[in-house]
Amino acid sequence: MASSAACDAVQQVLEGKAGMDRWAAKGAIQLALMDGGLETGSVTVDEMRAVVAELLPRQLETQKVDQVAAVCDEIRAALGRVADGPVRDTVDRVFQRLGR
Amino acid sequence: MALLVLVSVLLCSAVGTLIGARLLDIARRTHQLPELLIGTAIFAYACLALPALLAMGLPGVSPSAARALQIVQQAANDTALTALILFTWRVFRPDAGWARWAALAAIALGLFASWGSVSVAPNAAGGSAMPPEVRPYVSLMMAIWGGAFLWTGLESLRFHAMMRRRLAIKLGDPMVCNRLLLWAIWGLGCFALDLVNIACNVAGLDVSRHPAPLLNICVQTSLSSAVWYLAFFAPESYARLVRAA
Repeated sequence: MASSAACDAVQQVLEGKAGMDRWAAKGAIQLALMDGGLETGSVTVDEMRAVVAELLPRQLETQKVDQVAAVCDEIRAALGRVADGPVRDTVDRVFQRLGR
Repeated sequence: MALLVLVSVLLCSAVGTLIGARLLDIARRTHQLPELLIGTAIFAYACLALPALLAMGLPGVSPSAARALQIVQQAANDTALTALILFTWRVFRPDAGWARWAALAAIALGLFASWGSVSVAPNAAGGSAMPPEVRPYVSLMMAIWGGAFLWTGLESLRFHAMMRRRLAIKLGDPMVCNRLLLWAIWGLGCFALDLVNIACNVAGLDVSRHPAPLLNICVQTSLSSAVWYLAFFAPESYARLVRAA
């Protein structure tokens, strides 16, 4: 499954500003998303902001990334410049509609 | 026992018809496939399959009427099963090739079991509600229902766990998380009860008359009524309780 626009934006920052290689960046994002109960293919910009606030810093620290706070600021700025792609009909959206 | 079964089945039929119609109304408004499938599954089962099954067992039903009721019951039952399988596939595993093939295989087996039950029943000897010739097809149908319950229950439980992690970082809706849990309880509960029904059928008990399977039907229909009501038509007091927890 292709990753979402929010996911790609975070990966670009981790590769460009944090000096992580592609697979390390992907792994850190994947683990943070798993901790948050989210998936790379459907995570939205707003959801990714919550992950960056609550979960990603811990993942970056375990991977010995320098200046985690500055990297996270860069990620927040990058997320401000991307928009969500076409909305996928995810499980939570379906079960949200079923209770209307 | 007969009265208990009658009350629980009628209650399930009424609640399911109401909830199924409500879900179909949501589908009419949103034009989305998942609500159409789940609405069809619950409506066909509760509004057609259950009452037809109940009516077949009534005293004084003529053979031709019983035959018509059996066809209605099998058609509705198979429609409900097909819709439940398609719902689980489209909602939980839309991109998985194995899920598509598993869904198609289960639907084909369900059609075969329905066709077998309907085609064998009129030729069966004796006046039993469950002639021996029909039992293999009934067991097959129960096994497919069991697989469908297990699949939807496990998928729902998996997503419920994910939703709990989302709630921990202040994402998601507690009602959606609870709805997934209720759907998982329904799927796994019905799977366990379905296993009992299969065992009764294999043991040669008349599923429509023996107290053990009848009690099982009571529990299954009562569970369905409660879960459908709380999941899709939750009263405000229940919603407040969930949000506060």
